[in-house]
Amino acid sequence: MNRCRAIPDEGAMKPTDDQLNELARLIGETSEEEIDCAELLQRIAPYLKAVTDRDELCERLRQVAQHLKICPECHEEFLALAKAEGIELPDCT
Amino acid sequence: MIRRNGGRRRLECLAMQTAMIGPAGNDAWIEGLAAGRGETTAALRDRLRRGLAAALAGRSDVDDADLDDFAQDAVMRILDRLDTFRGDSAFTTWAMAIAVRIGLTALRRRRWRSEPIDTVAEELVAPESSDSVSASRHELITALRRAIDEVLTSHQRRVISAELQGVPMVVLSEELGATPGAIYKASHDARKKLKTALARMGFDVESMNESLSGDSR
Repeated sequence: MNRCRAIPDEGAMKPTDDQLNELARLIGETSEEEIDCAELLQRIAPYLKAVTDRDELCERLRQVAQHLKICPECHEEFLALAKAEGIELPDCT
Repeated sequence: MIRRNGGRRRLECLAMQTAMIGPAGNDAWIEGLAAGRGETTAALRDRLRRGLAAALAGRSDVDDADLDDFAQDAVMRILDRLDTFRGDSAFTTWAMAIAVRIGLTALRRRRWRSEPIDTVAEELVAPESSDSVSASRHELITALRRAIDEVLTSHQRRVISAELQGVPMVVLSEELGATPGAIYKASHDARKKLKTALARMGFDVESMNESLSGDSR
């Protein structure tokens, strides 16, 4: 029987070494000030243009780049947006 | 006479193209949508659907009906939030970003809800690989386990645990009854606390990166 997946409760937290490696990477990328996913959605279009044009990023777009390193869902959406717009991203993204 | 008919056909063709691709320029899009012009709304829906088809091409979990639904939902969301467009990009790219988020969010929710629960159980008992990691990485992981226990609240542990297991934000938000913004803040606060705790234990960002990039064999 396929029951719905439930989110793990706190008591069941038994992260594997691989998961802790990923958490350590995320901690290394963590900034004091970060934008959340809603704010990223407002800035992702100008960020895509700046990356495509290889412009130097201003502070508000550097925050977008930082968020994309932290958030896999927003990163997936960024790549999908580029495909939707028919844009081939530079390798560094 | 022939020229006049040809001219009319060209005008009709131009009108059809305009209806398909929509108006030119941000102001024209916003004006048309704000005024409730049917041809502008239809052009936006068509454009978003084509973009979504390209963005989600090759996925086996999307069909034509999904693309129609995502595009329609996106148009409704965009009309609702027209005044939040800041004008710092092409309007259509901003709109497409919203459509992509709507589509991928729906797919993430569907995928998570439809996978058998046994998958989670397997993930939770996944064997640790401490014998294959370098000594410095092992020290970092041990310190991180301790920091998680010592400095995180139970809510923060739950959010971090769910994120590490790939629980989609939309599912986490629904299950915890919190906005995605509140969940992101909990995660961010947790990462900052762990960063401070690890620094106290002698792991600054540089040494963490060295530990993570060290050869594991």
